[in-house]
Amino acid sequence: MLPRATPTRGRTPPFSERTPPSFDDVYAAHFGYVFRLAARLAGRGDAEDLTQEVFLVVHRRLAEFRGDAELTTWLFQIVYRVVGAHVRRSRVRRWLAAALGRDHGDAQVWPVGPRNLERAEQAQWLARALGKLSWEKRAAVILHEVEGWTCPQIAERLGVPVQTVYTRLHHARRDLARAMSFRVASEVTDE
Amino acid sequence: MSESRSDVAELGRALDDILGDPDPSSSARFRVRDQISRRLERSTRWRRTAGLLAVAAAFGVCAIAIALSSRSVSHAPIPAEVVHAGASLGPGILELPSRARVEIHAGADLRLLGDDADGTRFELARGVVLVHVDPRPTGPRFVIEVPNASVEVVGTTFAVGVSDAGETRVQGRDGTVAVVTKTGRTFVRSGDRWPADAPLLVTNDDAWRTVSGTASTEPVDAKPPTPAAAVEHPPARAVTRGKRVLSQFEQAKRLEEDGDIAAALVAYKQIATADSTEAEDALYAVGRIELHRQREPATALATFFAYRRRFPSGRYARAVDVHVLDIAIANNDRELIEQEAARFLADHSDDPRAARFRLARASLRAERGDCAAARADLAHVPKPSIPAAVLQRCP
Repeated sequence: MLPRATPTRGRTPPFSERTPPSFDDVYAAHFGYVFRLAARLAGRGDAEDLTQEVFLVVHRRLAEFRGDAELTTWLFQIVYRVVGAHVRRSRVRRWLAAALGRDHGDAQVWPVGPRNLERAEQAQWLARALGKLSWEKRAAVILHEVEGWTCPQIAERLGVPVQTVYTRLHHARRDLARAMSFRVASEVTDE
Repeated sequence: MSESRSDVAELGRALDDILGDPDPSSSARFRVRDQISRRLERSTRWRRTAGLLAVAAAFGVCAIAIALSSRSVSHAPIPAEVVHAGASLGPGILELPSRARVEIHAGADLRLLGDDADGTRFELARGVVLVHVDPRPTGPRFVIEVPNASVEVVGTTFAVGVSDAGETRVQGRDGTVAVVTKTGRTFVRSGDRWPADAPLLVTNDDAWRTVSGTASTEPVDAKPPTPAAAVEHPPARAVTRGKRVLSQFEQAKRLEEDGDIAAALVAYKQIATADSTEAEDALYAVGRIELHRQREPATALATFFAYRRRFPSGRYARAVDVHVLDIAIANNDRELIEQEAARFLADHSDDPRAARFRLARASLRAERGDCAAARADLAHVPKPSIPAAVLQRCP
């Protein structure tokens, strides 16, 4: 299993209200965390640009951070908003391109990097299905299934009821499973 | 659709597989940091440019407003029959027999106190007046009394304004004006303002030209301007922004640079006598002016001795030593030369200026025939600078 971006209290640097962290300190301590989250949620290809965007927001708003929440929670909320906006913009762009006849109109195809080449095709199907999920469902399934966050943790960091997270997760799994079964069905039909 | 544990685990593995390695490469950290720095720099530059544009726009609006408001000043000559001691003068241009022109803005409350052999005296209670006085170095004084101060002039062009709250402002155009208050005398020279950070009273060159008589006066404006328009010139903050307020010493230095040595000396002495951080600079400047400008070595010597007493390890101590030596040589004061040389060489034998003291002492020793001692001094003096007479006596 790859290293996860799960925020743990042990990894979070000590914070004191009297001495708010400097931008450089936050960048040094949390670059990896932000980059991993961005890479997971938006794909490796856009991770650098999105990390840059996230830290520009951090630079602008660090003075407002009063330490009421964990710094990692605050950072996650920025990542979630920045990546969410990026995903929605990408979808609009693709929709416009499809409407203008310049694109096939498929949902975002996730950049595939399978270690097992035999599973490449399955990965491609799954990636396409993941790209079709709504941003909220996609975030829920990635954070839970890949990053290993519990539903209460996700709910706390997103500021939503835990039941909402369960619902999003359930629907995401169902959609992904449906996409996978359609793949299997189409393979059977082809044969 | 049921979600069996194996399905969920399979889904997690598959997602993990397609999402790939999320760890950043070692160079990504520096690359992203570099890009962030560049974008922040660009953003700061843009913000600064936008700020400058905003200031420029505000300045433009103020300039237009000032240009419009300055048109409301009446340039009509004030009839001679209304001008007498005690008369309250309305807007217009007043020409006095003592070769002074006063442009009175609408709304100004100006009273002529007297214009005779003793001088010209006005009292300005409110509003703005522009004054041009032909140079009168020895003639009667020209004074405008304002609340809590008086503005004295020898020959200059300047503006005085008193706000409704009784705050006085002075703006110099040419020459130097002295503003005398209870706390002392401040010189306002060309381009300066008093107080130093006060907004400009006059920004229109035409107004200065009119009062100094270099522009023709316009006919009487049938429609008198409103007091508010004439008196309340918009504060030209954009013009003064970033301009450093000159210290008293810098003001005095500017007087000296402008050639007004007498005024500069008075100003330097005033600073030197006060317990100010600039007192040392001012005291040295007094000695320097007395020595080089006024050619009064005895007075300068007294000033330099006063400097030594007051600032024994001052910044100008060595320069003062050299001045004292020069005065001693000029006065052929042998005792003082010996004394100064011994004093300087005891503490600063490595100083480049030590050669001057050695040479002076060596000359005296050679004169006395003490060639051994003279040679000891001359050994540290560059050969080309040794006078032939000294070498003849002590070859």
